[in-house]
Amino acid sequence: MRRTFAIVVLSGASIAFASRFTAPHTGVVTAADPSPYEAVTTTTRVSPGVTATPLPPPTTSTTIPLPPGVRIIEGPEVRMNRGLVQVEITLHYGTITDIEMVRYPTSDRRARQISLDAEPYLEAEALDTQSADIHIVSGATETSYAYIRSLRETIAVAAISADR
Amino acid sequence: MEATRPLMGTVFRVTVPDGTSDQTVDEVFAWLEHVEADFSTFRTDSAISRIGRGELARDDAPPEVLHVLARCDELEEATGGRFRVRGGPAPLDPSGFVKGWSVDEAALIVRSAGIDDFAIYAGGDILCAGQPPDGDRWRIGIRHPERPDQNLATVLAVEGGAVATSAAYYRGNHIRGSRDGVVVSVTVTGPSLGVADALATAIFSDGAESLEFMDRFPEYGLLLLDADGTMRKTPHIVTIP
Repeated sequence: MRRTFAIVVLSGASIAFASRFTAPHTGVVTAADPSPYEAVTTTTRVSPGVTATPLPPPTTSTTIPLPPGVRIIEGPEVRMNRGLVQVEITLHYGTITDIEMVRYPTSDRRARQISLDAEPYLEAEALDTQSADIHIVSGATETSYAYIRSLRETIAVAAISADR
Repeated sequence: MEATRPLMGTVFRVTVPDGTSDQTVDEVFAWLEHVEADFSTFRTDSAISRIGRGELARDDAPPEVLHVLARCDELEEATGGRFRVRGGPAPLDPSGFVKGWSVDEAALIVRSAGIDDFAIYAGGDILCAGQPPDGDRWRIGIRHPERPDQNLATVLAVEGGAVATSAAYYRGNHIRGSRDGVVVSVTVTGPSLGVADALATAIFSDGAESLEFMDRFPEYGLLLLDADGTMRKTPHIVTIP
């Protein structure tokens, strides 16, 4: 008969850690977060052309009203080896309902392919299924470190703006 | 209530009953950040990177690092070397076990706060306990290997425990049938997420060619999917039709 492998995994290190822990302000985005109504401002950049006529203002802003409880937050650009990564998250009363990679590395085809392949999986992973029939989805994802870092910083921005 | 954070190069989410104190959730994330700092192979100053470079003797490492490396050695032996912590891009990389183990440990924090019904999600792997808010079993979807962003291959009914999946997903010009019979998704269930994750990785590494070593893990269930979604599973695993 084969020897069974009774691994004792738990060390209790987490409990020892937690007993020393004092909670800082975290800014965790949770479903309970009561986000106020907000409008989003999109920015359109117009590149200055070589022309004698007066240039249009370099930036025009348009305000788009959003449904109550919805906020869209554009994260900072994160520079990684392969280029810039930027995500935009949509919040509905503080819950992330959509994540879009608005900027991804295009410097080489391989990087672009990785970014494009990873996006739907990462998005599905971060969003989870909100179907009434399923609680959680299990499945490996092609994780992009740059995407995660950008997402982390965007969530931090979201938490700061929720505090206001 | 839920709290989501990017950590360890993936996304973590804690689901606890409404009314759970913020302190408990904060403790969980503080613990996970602590683990990330010790074990990150991206950070050159982490304990694991310093051991990998030979700058820190293993015996001088923090106790939880010693604990993890000992468990990894056991798993490497038990899986006949299919689970490995050396030989990758980083000289020493136990992240195939650390992510799940950090969740096993985080569950102690949640339980010690008197919470019996909760789930912790870590980048496609899950540890759930007790009951969900709307029923008696957690319902865990398993991604379809061919349409991972849209479809589920199956749904598991889990009374409590770990679900870890290791998989390769294909998109684009896939010719149907070209990968029939090839295992592309391995899900392992059982009491510990660290062990389940390591076993899923080990089984996936050789396309589920050799499963004999699973006899040594009688508490762990196995679900294999081919590219077309054809499923094989052990009786441990209960699916919802």
